[in-house]
Amino acid sequence: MPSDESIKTSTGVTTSRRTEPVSAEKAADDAYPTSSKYALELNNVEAFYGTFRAVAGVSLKIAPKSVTAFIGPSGCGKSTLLRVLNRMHETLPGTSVKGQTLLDGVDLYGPKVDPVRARRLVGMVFQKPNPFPTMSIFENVISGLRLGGVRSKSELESVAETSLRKAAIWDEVKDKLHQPGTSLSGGQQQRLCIARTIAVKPEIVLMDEPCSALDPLATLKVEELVRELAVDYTIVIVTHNMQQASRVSDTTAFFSMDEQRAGYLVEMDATSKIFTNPKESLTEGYIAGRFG
Amino acid sequence: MAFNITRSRSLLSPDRTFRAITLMAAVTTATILAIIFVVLALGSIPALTASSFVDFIGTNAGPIFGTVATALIAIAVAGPIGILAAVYLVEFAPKRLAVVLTFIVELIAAIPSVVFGLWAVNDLSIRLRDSVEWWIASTFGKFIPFLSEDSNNPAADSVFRAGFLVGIMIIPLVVALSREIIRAVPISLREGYIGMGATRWETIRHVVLPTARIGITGALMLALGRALGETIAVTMVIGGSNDVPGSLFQPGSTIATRIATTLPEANPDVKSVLIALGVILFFVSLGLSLAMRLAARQTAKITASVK
Ligand SMILES: Nc1ncnc2c1ncn2[C@@H]1O[C@H](COP(=O)(O)OP(=O)(O)OP(=O)(O)O)[C@@H](O)[C@H]1O
Ligand SMILES: [Mg+2]
Repeated sequence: MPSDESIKTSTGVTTSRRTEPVSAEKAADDAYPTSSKYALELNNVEAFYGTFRAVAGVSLKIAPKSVTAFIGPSGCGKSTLLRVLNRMHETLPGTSVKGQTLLDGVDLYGPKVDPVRARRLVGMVFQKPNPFPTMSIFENVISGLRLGGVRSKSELESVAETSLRKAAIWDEVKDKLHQPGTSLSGGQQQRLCIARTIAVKPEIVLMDEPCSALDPLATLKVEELVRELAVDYTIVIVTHNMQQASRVSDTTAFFSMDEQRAGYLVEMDATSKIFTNPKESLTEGYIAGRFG
Repeated sequence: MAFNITRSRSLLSPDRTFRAITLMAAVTTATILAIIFVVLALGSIPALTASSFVDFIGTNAGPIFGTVATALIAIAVAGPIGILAAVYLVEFAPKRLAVVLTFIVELIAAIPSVVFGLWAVNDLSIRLRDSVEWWIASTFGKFIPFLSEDSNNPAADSVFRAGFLVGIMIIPLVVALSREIIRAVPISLREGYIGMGATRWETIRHVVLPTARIGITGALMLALGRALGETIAVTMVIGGSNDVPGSLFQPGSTIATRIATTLPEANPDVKSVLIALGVILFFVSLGLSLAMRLAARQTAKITASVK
């Protein structure tokens, strides 16, 4: 009996818009041992810059096709943790990661995993829009496909259009696809970067404060977009804007720092619960302060 | 009143004096350029009016050919090596190694030109003659003009060896300029592409180098200007023949070497010719330096357009 009701999972994480009954899921799990009912599952993940531990012992589970918000004070390791999820953290010299990160049940840091390919499954949208300045709008959108070896012109064109439509920017750019991506406004650039990210059909889209460089109107557009994208993608979004977290996310994870400045997960729950009735007083204090 | 804040009426307030001194220094610098230009322009008039410009070029084809040839060979040597070295320093080298390598490159830049010349005469020239020159001549010499083998008795000096030496001499300049340009490509662009599932090499090839392309072209222009004017070291290995050589592997001359070697015993007519050649060199170098500036501005625009 498919239902649109929220289902409480064994860990207490509420996931919405799940349409399969639990029993069917269980069966699928048995048939495909590597496939998990979680898009992401972190067990005791730690991240280091040299000897400095920026993220300490984070365990959490993220349901597929949901929006998860990471919130917390500046420096508590939200960006670092996000970068662990697509193996970008290790591109900085001297960094290391401990613990287990399962992507759809597969160990993201397993010995057979190619980080370059893994990044195609876990796309990332950055704080500052970063279209490639020497590429046109079109080339920006298809840059990931080209990297993946797609050469067919018709396929590139159709994916470009679909992605730009999904990123709600098609109408604004359809007549100037061959102009530089940098000729767009900041908000348009960010939606172009989102289009570029989803063009390779990733499993997960990570967004690190994607609206912090945008004006309120552009922000609203990107927020709407995030909601629409959650139909197809699992989204993790870092934000300092509490209203934004409450507007776009299904689940919210609140992070804080210990005495050694190591970030840890305070609690993770349904967004409505975190914002109205959190378990931890730390969370309550932070949110109350933020809403002022 | 406890304090006085009225403006000093004296003409000799410290600020004004200092301002005047610095202004004088600035004007002096600008004046030097003007003086050089006027003196050279006046000096070149007899030679340039004695015959048509085409004839002038024709009678001086040897040094002009040598100048262009050595500069292009130099860029062909220094461009790839310098740019790739800069890529390594910015994109791959561990911090400490980068510091050491940068220091070594700066040391090379500090070697006096005449010392490079000494090395070339005693070592590099002979090596080049027996390796690169021999290989090029025996592979392409039969069908490409200017690349033919230099008879049975290879000359001690050649245009090619001079160009190659200048190339080595300008590598540090190319490395230093390219490194700054490559470093200026925003990290966010690299991370954006790596995040799309690109390797480091793909990121360098598709994002870093294209973004830096105009700036690097400018850097090569500046290096070309430096190569055109190199005198002492080139004089020591190019051979000093005034005609257009039949092959790059034969002796020749450049504008700079011709001026340096003929000026001491030149009569007024020849002197004017030499000055006219100097004017040409002056304008070409100026043009290249301007091109470098334009390129730098373009690059700044591109990197700034990433909001
Ligand atoms: N490249 C780096 N090298 C060393 N330490 C770093 C580096 N980047 C971040 N850190 C440190 O790691 C910790 C977590 O940083 P991070 O950027 O993940 O925090 P954040 O929660 O995203 O903060 P913000 O909300 O300000 O973006 C901080 O103490 C920070 O100083
Ligand atoms: Mg951050």
